[in-house]
Formats: sequence, C-alpha cells, structure tokens
Amino acid sequence: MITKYFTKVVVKFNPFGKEGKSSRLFLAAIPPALRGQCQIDYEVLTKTSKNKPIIKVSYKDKKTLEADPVHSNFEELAAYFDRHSRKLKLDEAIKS
Amino acid sequence: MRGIFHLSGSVLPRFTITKNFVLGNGKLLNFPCISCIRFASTLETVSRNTVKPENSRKTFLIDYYKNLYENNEIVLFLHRNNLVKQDITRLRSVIDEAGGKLTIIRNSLFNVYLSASESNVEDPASKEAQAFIKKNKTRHQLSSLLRGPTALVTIKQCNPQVVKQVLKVIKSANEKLFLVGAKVEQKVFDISEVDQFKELPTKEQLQAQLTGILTMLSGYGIVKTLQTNSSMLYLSLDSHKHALEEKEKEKEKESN
Repeated sequence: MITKYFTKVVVKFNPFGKEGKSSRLFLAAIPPALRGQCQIDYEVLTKTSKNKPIIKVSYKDKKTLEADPVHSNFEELAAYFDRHSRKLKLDEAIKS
Repeated sequence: MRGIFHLSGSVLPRFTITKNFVLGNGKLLNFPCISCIRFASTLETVSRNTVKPENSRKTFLIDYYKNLYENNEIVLFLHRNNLVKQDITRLRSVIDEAGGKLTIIRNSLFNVYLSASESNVEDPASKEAQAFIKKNKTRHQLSSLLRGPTALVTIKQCNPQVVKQVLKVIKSANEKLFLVGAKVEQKVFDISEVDQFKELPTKEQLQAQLTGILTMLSGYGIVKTLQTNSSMLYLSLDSHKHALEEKEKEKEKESN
C-alpha cells in the first residue's frame, strides 16, 4: 500500500467484529516513519456504540476517500486507496 | 563425542546410542545418549506426543502461552502498531513497574492453545489436541482478537487498580499500542467493560464493605446465626422444617 501521500487516517472498528482484521492490518501497514506527517485517529467500537466502522483517508491534495472495512478485506482496501495514491505519484513524477 | 558413546566397537546412530547409569542400590539404568546428558540429574524422561518436535520453538511457545493464560487472572489484549525497539523497551519497563508484563505473541500459536483449551486434552501441543482442533470447527471467543499484530499484558492478581495503572501507561502510547479486549478471570470483556472494571475497588475492599454492611444493618441476624456453632444452626433449621411440615399437614386436612 502506498502511504506516502496520506496526511490523515481515521479508523473506527470493533475488534470483535468482521472488520477487526482488515482495520487492524490497515493500521499496521502505516510505517512508523510516517508518524510525523500523517495523523492517525482511531476509535475502538463496542456492541453499544452508535458509530459505524469506517476507514477514512485524507491525501496531500486534500482529497478524502472513505471505505467500509466490514465488506472488504485488506487487499481490497489497499487497492482502493492506492488508486488515488498512484495518481499523486504520477503528478509528482511529471512535475519533477 | 561419538567416541565416548560407542558400544562394542561399532558406532551407532546418534539417537540410538545408550549409556548405563548405576543407581545407589546397584541397579543399572539404560538411557539414550542425548537424554542422558540432558536429564542425567533427574534420571527420568517424559516423552510427549507433540505435533512439532519437543524442543522446537513452536512447542515451547504453545506451552508458554498456556502458562501465561492459566497463571494470570487478567490478560489484556492489545493492538500494536509497528513499535520500534526503543518504544517497546520503554513500554515494557513502565508496564513492569505498573504491575503487568508485556508479551508480544504469535497469533496462530496462541489460537492453537485457545482452541485446544476447549477440549479435555491436557497438552495443547500434542497430536490429540491437533486432531480435536481439526475436527471441531468452533472458534474461541477470544480468537477474534487475534487478527493483526497483537500483544498481551498479563496481570497475576485480579486487581482493578493495576489495570488502571497499566491502561494509563498504554494511553500514553497513543495509536502505537491500544487495548482491544480482555480476559478477566474467566470472562471476556470489551473495552467499555474494562473501563467499568478498572474503576471498581479491589476484591478485599469489596468483601470488607459487604461484611461491614451485614454487621451494621439488618443482616446482623444472618451473621449471628452463621457465627453460632453448627448444632444451633441445625436446630434452628430443623425447627423451621417442622413448622413447614405442620403447615402442609394442616392444608391437607382442610382439603379433605
């Protein structure tokens, strides 16, 4: 997963639910080197909480993408967020 | 080494070489050479029917997880996010001071232990346990917490104050290490239940409060009855039984 262009990541998940695996793998895929430039907000949900599980990523160009971790696995999530990252990578290559 | 253990002039394969031990009463004991080096002090070998070799890391880890899970009343399950060496060393020492112990686990091996713990098989690394796991498809309630990088904090005694201290330390680590669930005695807690649990007083304090209430308020009668000797208790219960029987007889008479 290309994480270079992330500026903010919001992950809300219930660890006992279906989304537990994909959300936790997504969090683990963000390298420690990115900690200064990318803000990571997480919320651990419970049975009683009203918030829905979600993964939200903000990019350097201020575009925000949302994904549902319940119905997609880690590979699908990575492919979804990589689509915009690749665009940014291409832009960067053209400009430089 | 081989020269030492060869018998009658022919060198035998490594694991079949044997050596005799002479016991105090003059009896001879015959041991394989590897075992004789390792267990010479105890003079006994315990063979286990394990899936992986007995001395392998996987068998050791399964045994270690069994020991961790069974000898600690509280086990906190944490998600860890790419902890660098400095972070983990610092967190380990701070959690140690708070009264817990941080262990990074291998999910698949912990899962093997959890699944095997539901059977009657004592040894979770054994072939019998493996057969049970393959046959029985039901998942342990805690196995859903073993997806993604996981660490455990184990606490020996069921003391909410220690949990409070440990959670305070973990909170300072932000997204690098956070709580996802817990096992308290035999129950599985989610984070809201752990938050409620950590605010409770200790078990001893609760027991002291209960006895205080019983002696001070209307429970005085119960305490007095329980404190009197057993014969008195028997007589009072017996009289109560007689009274109940008489009532029943009266009812029967009325119905006739």
